[in-house]
Amino acid sequence: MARLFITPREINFINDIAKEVIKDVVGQKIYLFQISEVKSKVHDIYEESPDKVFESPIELDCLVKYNAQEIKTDRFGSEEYYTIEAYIQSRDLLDKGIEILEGDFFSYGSTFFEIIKAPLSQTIFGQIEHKRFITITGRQSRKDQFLSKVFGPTSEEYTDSDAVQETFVQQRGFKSNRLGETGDVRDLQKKGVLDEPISGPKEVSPKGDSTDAGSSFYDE
Amino acid sequence: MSTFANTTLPTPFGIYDNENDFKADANNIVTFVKRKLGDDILSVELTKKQIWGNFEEATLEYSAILNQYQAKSQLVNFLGFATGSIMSGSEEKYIRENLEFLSRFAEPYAMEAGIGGSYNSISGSIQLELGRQDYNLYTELTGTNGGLFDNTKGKLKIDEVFHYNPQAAYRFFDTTSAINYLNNEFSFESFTPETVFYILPVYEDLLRGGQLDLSNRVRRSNFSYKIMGTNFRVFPIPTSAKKLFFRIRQYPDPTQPSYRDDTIHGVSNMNNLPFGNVQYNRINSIGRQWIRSYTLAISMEQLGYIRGKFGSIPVPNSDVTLNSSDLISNGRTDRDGLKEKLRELLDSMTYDKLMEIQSTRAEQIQKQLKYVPVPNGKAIFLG
Repeated sequence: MARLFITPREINFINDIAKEVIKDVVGQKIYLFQISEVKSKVHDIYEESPDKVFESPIELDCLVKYNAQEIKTDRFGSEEYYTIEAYIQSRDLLDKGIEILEGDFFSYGSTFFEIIKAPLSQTIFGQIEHKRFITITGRQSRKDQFLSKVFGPTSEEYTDSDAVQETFVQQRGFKSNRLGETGDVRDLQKKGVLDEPISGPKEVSPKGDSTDAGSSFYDE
Repeated sequence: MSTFANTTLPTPFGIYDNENDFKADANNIVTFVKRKLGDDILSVELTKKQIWGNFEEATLEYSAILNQYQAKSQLVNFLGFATGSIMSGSEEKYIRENLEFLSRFAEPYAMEAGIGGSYNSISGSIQLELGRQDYNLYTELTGTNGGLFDNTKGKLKIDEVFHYNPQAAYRFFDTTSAINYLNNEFSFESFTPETVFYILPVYEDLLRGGQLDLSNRVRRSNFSYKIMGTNFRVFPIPTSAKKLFFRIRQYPDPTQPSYRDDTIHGVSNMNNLPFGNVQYNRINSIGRQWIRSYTLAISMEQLGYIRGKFGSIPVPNSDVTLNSSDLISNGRTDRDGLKEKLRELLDSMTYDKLMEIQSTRAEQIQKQLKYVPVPNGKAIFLG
């Protein structure tokens, strides 16, 4: 679309809407484990690192395309393979100063994935300097390849305290919410075009359900 | 957090920016509008200035509609009076009625009857010639400064031709008494012994007058004239070279009567009524609630336009369609509905309508009173 109609302000508007959808409505997230180039020991000759060291996990808001597991059967028996795609907004990564590379790992639910592809996908209305999102494709990693603490939500089958996510708190451009730092930036607010929301981030949590039957909307 | 008071140029026109009530409500209206549009949960992409602009627009709209209806009720009394600027302050006044409008309408009739009007008649004369009956009014009628006809003012209208018989009344009391004519002429008749009074019924006077008048017409040379087009024909044929006097008028210039009339440049229609904007501080709770609702409606519509700039918004791996069309449609419906309701309400409150209502009420009271029993001893019952 013509640059006459899509100015940086419109780009900010589009990015803010996308952030709102992902962070304040959908609420899906992955945990990214990036390889620490500093901490990993690299082989002198092969320039490879057989034992990689990872940075602390980062919680990333994204949209996840969950594929059913693929079951492969061979002479050793059957094996389940998971592949997954996650779509992360480029501007959000830029705000947080994160660069996702092939070889990094992430977890979604109780499964760990190795990132095999992380291309930038699409521009915003054809403007080359404004990318929409990156699509990371993850292949299930073997347990001996990567193992970490599992972050919830994982599954209703488990009894861990975070197995089922009972609390979802919006971010809405605030630096922090009840759960801690958000790292969220809304450009229209940052640039002074829009004011902050008239009230803080709202949440869906057990606090909103006086009957204790489940989580509900809570705004006080 | 910016407030209305500490914001530079918070509204487009700045009409109410200095009114305390407006300032206070402006801060609250932001919360009201944003909360109604859901900002507590998801962003409402409206700036404070946009909402304040809408608030100002709503107040101005309210003021304009109110003034329109005030104009319906009061225009007739303001016509001709000094026009006013936008801050003239004649709005919201319960003014005294006058009949100037009707009087002005009646003026031309009065002028035709020779008892008023706003235009002077002009006197002039034609020099009669011996034995000549026909004269051209447009070329031969002259005043002290030459010809009277002004070809920029249209047709010449003859008000009066000083060419008539002596009044029969001059001969009324005694046809032979010359002194009676003089006494009559100088309003002296009651003070001279020459005057003779008769004790007679009035109809006798009237009959006598008619008789004398008829006698003048039939037995004497009749003074008369005819006007045909531009020509004037005098009867009888002139026997001497006299001057014949006229009073004439030409088509009156409606913007220039014979006296200085500044009311011509005064109020002439709704446009120059001295009505300013209604002060926000004086708007009551009925009006303020209308203004709040209207602000919300136009904010909703505005938000629709903002969200509708793009058919769909790209989000990672998908597009979202925002609720633009709903917002525009609902905002517009609400806005139109509010205006319609206000107009309906004000329609029922024009001064004409109030008179109608009062009249109906009076009739209804009369009707009801018919059924109220008269107290004992206050009426006589028959049968």
